[in-house]
Amino acid sequence: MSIIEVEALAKTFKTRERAAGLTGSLRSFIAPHYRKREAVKPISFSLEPGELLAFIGPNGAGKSTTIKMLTGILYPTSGRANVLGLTPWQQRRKLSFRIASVYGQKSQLWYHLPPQDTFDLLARIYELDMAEYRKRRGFLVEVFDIEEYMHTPARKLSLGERMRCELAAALLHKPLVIFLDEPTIGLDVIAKQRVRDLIGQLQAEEGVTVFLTSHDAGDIEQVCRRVIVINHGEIILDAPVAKLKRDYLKVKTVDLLLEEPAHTLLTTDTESGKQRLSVQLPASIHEEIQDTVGVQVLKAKGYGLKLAIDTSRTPLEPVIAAIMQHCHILDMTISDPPMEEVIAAIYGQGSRVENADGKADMSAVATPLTSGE
Amino acid sequence: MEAIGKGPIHRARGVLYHSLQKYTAIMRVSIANNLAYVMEVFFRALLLVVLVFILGQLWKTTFSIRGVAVLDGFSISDMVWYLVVAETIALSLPQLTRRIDQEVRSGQLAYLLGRPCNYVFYNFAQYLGERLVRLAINGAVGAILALIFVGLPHFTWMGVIAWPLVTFFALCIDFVAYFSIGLLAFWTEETSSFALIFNRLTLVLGGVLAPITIFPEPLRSIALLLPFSTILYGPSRTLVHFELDQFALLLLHQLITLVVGSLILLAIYQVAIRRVNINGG
Repeated sequence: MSIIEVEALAKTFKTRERAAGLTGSLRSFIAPHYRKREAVKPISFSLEPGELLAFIGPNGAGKSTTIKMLTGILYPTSGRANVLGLTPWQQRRKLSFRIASVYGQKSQLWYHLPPQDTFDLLARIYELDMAEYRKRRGFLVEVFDIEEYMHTPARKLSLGERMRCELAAALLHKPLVIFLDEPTIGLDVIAKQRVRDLIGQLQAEEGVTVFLTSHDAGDIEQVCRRVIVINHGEIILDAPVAKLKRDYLKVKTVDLLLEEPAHTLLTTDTESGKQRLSVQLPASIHEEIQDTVGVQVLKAKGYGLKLAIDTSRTPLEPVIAAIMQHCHILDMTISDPPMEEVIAAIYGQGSRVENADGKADMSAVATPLTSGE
Repeated sequence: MEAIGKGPIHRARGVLYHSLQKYTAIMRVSIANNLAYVMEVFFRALLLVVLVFILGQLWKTTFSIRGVAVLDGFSISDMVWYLVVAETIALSLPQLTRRIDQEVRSGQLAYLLGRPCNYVFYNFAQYLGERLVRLAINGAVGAILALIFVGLPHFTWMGVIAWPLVTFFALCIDFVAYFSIGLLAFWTEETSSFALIFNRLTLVLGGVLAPITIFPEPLRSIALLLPFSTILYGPSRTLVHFELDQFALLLLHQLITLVVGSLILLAIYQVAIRRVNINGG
């Protein structure tokens, strides 16, 4: 039985437009002009209990609007949604006892007070049994490792520390579904990883259903099992995360700061005139990979080198090992492709799939894909 | 899917019990949050010294020029105590409209709307906590000031008992007005101008400079009929110059103002909540 059912849910915003200049402003004041924007076009999907869903897309894709409709804060323009057997915007209060939401860009902690005070207040707001609440708080404080922050005013906590407290606060009332809206936004690499680990751990221990929005591909890769990609208010992909990783997150960008000038690692291809990495991959480890065929040099300047590595053709590890044999690496960052590139790749793949069937022409790039895998 | 209950660690009690628990908890947290910067509130209260000193001197001059000891039932001592009480209430007003306006524009209200509590009551409890801290500090500073200026007041015990009630209603009326103005952020680009107009009208027509009964006609009758008099003049007069029939009239006036104001607030809220657009996401 589905825990969330969404059917042709859509939201259109009406925004007032203002013309430029003084006369334009006066004209807009006397005769305002409104523009309709379809934030979410009719979308349908369902979620089973205990699922970890990543709802991803670039900024303005409609992710937060969808969350706010599912939590009952926004009234949809049309369509139907059922969360835990309730219609969110009609039964918001009843629903709020069994769901939780965390917005990465907003805080629910009282600014001048320690998290402990906000926790106590939430216990009253969610009408919890105080003995049960204290047990629950103890459990969450331990899991999230926030004991030392519980008595520090929220304003003095770092963003990462605050986010751990926010997550613990949201889980006090044992929600069945948790909506996380960009929970890792603005966090550094270590804090992001910590938050991701905690979400995964909590889901494993409590079986809570997680609905996570993000435009950070790393969140999806490490936390979720299913992904829905939304762009311009439309679902363009609904597939297991494994498929997303295999097909669209395979190219990693590696930024290196080397001890020696970057050009000592490169040669120029005589035919194409492009620079390529000229290191010998360790054959004993990866016998099947003998050259750097999946490695593209994006930028080489001074001691800095930026590579794009297609991990389906050349794994990361031997490439890094080969570079390290040649010279020391002083600093290194590995990142996923930006969401815009993932979406462009999904659209591109859509056109290729359809072309393979021989039913569509090359211009049909904006074809949504869904997969029941 | 079949609809679910409140949860495994929920305490089964009546609606009234839980409501009382949650809104008093919000008020307590709000008081604690405001006590975090109590010095700022204290320094703001020092403005009372300047205001009461200037107004006190003006009234002393007026009394001496007119050669009277009592003006419309107010001695100079009553007048200074009246000014202190009125200024104490007026200066304790927090920036409610700005907070609501920002919550609407930034989308912060998403957190509150997603919780099992009423958005209006939540904000009322928070506002009350904030205002009580300011009222207490202003009251303490104002009382010391008046004691130094004119000595002990001539309060009656009935006035002292009635004052908290009418002051509470005055704070409620302020809340209804400034909260409604804050909700206008759903429609307008700027709400602070509306708040400023309401605030200035309250100060001028509400009787912060002088008891309204001293105003010349027809201003006096108009000011007494307007809701502003129930916020400053009514409660201040109740404490300084208690009269039972005036107190009964004030209560009636306050209740009518509150009922009408609350109906307007609810009407705005009902329309506004359907217009939630949640900025920043």
